[in-house]
Amino acid sequence: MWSNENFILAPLEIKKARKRLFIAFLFIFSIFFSIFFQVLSFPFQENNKLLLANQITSGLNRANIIDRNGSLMATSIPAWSISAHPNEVLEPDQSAFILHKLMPEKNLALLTKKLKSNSKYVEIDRVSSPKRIDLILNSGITGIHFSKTQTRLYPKGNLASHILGNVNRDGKGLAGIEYKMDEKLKSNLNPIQLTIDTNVQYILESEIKKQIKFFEAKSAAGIVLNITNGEILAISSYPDFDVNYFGEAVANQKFNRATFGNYDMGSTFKLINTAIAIDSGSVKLDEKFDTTKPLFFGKHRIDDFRYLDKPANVAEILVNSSNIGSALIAKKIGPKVQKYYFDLLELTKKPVLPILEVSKPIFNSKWPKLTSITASYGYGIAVSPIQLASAISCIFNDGKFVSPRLIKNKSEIVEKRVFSKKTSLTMRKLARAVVTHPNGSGKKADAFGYLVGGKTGTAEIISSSGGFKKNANLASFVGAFPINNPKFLVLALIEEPKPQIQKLKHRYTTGGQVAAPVVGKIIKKIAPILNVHPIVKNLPKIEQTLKLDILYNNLEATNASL
Amino acid sequence: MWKLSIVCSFIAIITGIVLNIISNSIQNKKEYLVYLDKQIDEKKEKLKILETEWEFHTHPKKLMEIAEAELGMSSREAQQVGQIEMIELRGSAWTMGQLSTESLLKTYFEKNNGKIN
Repeated sequence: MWSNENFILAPLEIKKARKRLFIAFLFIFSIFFSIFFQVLSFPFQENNKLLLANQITSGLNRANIIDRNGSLMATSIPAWSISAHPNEVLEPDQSAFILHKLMPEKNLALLTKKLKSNSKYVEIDRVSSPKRIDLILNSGITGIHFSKTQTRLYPKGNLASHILGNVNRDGKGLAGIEYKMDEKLKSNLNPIQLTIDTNVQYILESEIKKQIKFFEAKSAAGIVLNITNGEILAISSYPDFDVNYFGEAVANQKFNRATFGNYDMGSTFKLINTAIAIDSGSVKLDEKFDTTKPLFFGKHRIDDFRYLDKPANVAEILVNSSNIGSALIAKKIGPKVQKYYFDLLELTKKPVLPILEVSKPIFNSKWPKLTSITASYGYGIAVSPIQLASAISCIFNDGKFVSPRLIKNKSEIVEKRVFSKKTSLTMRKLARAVVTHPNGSGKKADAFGYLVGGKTGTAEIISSSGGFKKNANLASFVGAFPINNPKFLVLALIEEPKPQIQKLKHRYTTGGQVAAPVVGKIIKKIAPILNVHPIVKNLPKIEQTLKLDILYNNLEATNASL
Repeated sequence: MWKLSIVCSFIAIITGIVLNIISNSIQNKKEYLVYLDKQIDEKKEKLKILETEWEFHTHPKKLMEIAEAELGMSSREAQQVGQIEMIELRGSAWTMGQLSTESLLKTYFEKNNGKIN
């Protein structure tokens, strides 16, 4: 039996024993506490590790780009890259043949050469699907290696190709939004939402392509814009390319004509000139100008397609698209006032858009009288289609300018008043007259029930060697709907359409013949998508309110049309 | 004192065993968590591929072609859209004028002994 009585210890030894016991006690408890503490901290350590692991995986990713309805336009998906170590390949000829069977797009001779090479590593396929990997694994070929990677995919193919741009094999943006927003797409995995509506985009692209084919045109651009907030709903440039095969596209396909192309727009600028003249009080709507003979400005002769046989008022000048009349109006406005308005409409500076391909307008910065005269009918200043679209939007949006935008966010819309409400209303009536008046050049843009108003443009194209190209037009139409309360603007611009005498029985390639019909067709198709209800019941009543007496009273007097 | 040390040692051993069991279970849970994490990642990847495929198959061009070929659908024309007043009720005494929103409301309130302003 253990008992204290069996041990007689000296008090000093007892003290020592107690001390040892205390140390042992402390030792055991320190172990106990350290284990306990470790156990307690264990879950937290694991969390940190997991978080870090996720970040490493995410670093290879890139945020999605989606349209305004959440439809995927660009995404990163897992993929496999296939490589070979030629010294490990047992039967190079046989293996190359099997690989060619599984990857028909790969050249057999090239595959054989790669598998027979002396190098330690050769790339077979940079991006492959998991299904293909399974097939190769089951084929039993030796020396083939796989590594997991990420690839950027654009499920909509050609749609909005110029806006999306592309990335290189290291995931770095090369063009479009992918370039301009590279850092944001890499650092934040929240998707970037565009203002683009893929359905509207498809309609715009397909209708423009049809017209290009019909008129055997060289190229084209198109825009659909929300007038009230500047949101670009669709923007296209032709020729285009499949974004998934960016490397195979040639420079002409990659060129974004809608934002990077600068054009002397022609008669669509007459809308701007007329709005400036009315708003600045330089002219009155019924003021008449002599448009019966050519106008000389120094050495320069300004002509019309057809002369009007009587002096025409401001409204008739616009509806008949008279260059002479517009030049005479510009003379009355004066270069200073005109330049002031052009600056307000941001026609003289580079637009701000989140893509790489945005151009600066081209014009004589001194803005001499000649520039002022020619700018009145769209020459002497070359702007991009997006600039024209936003300037015209301002005229129809109660005179308020809103910068175009491609990214959908909650940021406040900054409006800038350029024209008065009254000017805007008069201009909308004039724009409607261009489409409905017997002498109007834009009759083919009308879409029943949607009250289209706009202006045609037929500009000669400047050749690279100077001077104008022979028989080469830039046909355009810019229109808004419904013009009594405009919400959306559509612009179509077709470069170098060829006369189709056999199909049309005439040889005109003007804006009214080439671009106006496309805009009409586009409006008919996009209006239901954009929730614009056709006006059927009150149509005659509304049409009446949009009629300008000054035009219809003098109808018999005007006898020319473009 | 020796009793206390025995008790303490006993507690320490028991605690050690318990902690070991806890530690092992945490280790197992951690492994399971890693497995789940991997599973989630794999599912997410599959979901992403499916989403991409879905977007590819719902290209507006394909949808329009299918809608036209299979359902005979095409773009709506303005002429196809009318007002409710244009619809004449079958077998009733309603005339076009009586079908205006105002007259419908009036009839409704009259029937219900109510009034409208």
